[in-house]
Amino acid sequence: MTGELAAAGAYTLLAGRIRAYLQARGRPEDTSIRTETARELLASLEYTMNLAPGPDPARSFENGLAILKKKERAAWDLLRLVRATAPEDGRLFEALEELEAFLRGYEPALFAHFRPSPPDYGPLLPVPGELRGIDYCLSFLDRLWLENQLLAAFTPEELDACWATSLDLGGLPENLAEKPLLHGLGSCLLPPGDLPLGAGELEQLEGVFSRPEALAQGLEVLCRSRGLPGRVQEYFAGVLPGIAARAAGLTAANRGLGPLFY
Amino acid sequence: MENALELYHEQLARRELGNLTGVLASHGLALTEEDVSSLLELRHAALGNAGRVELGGGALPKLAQAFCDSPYVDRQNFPTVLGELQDAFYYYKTECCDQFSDEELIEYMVRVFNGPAEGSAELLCGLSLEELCRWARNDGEISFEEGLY
Repeated sequence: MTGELAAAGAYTLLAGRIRAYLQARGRPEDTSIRTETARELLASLEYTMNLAPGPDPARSFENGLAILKKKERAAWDLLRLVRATAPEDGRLFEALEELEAFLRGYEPALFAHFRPSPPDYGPLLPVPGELRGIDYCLSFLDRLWLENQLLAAFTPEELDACWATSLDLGGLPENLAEKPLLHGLGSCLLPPGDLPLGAGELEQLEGVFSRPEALAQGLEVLCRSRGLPGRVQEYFAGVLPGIAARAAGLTAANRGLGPLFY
Repeated sequence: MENALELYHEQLARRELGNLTGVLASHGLALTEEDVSSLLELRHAALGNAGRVELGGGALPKLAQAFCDSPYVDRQNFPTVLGELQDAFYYYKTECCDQFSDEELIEYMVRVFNGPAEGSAELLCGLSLEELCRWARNDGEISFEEGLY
């Protein structure tokens, strides 16, 4: 352990974090902690200092902590925004509750790098696994916020109609934005362009998945026609290859067994 | 760097133990430089075995102060007993998941050591955490002969 501390060159800071930890746990007079806890405190310290690198470790830590606190406030704001704009859905609200519980317990001064367990309901584009701490939370919420913006671009009637259609997702949990996205794309690419797509158009849409340029074009038309901002388009441009790959895999696996959409 | 850190902690522990010289002397006890060096070596191993890291002077001065008035310690056995108690302290501290403060745990150990263990550090160190708590709460009313296990 001391070898790691020496390598980190931040022993005094770590000692301060250990004291802060003992204080926070109501044990200010205690003299020792578990090595695992010390390791987590060290990892948190490194994570925080890396947010504001500089020659003075103490200054780096203070500046990093200030950045974390701003990010924490941003995460709370984003959580409220996502919750206010989210469609009524139990799984989505459960995921938001889990994130809220994480934020309530978040201790940037001690365990800044901790991140929530991934909720069962997640965004279409998974949060990169390497993201830690509040960055994971922010990314998760930001993705849900972008998906909410897409959903808000449809009327409630359109959404209900899209959600009522069946779509084989290959056993993956259903994401609220997926069907409206696919129906929306289909309506931009295939005549007559009504929502939701009919069975024939859905079957035709399967063919489009193997043509990335067509998908990108459809997405552009969809976002433009629905007045969606560039960030939403960028996000869903990142989502589409994953859906296309899944559709290709599913089509291959189910060849002769039926269409992707039914 | 690592050596400098260890040296720093050693110095703190030596200083804190040095501050206890008067208290220890009032109970007819003393720790020589050699005793202290040996105890600090044991501390290093005990911390490693219990998977703990320690700040400052550590628990050794607290243990020395808590046990110096025990009727079961004398000038001759004090350093050895202290070494064994130190080992047990870190073990229990980890076993209880830090649910007890240093002071609470030391108080339990003192009760058992001065009570049913009748000054046997070996017996005390052989207890599980659960047994230690149970026997400490009985506050010496039960002896080991009545069936500890």
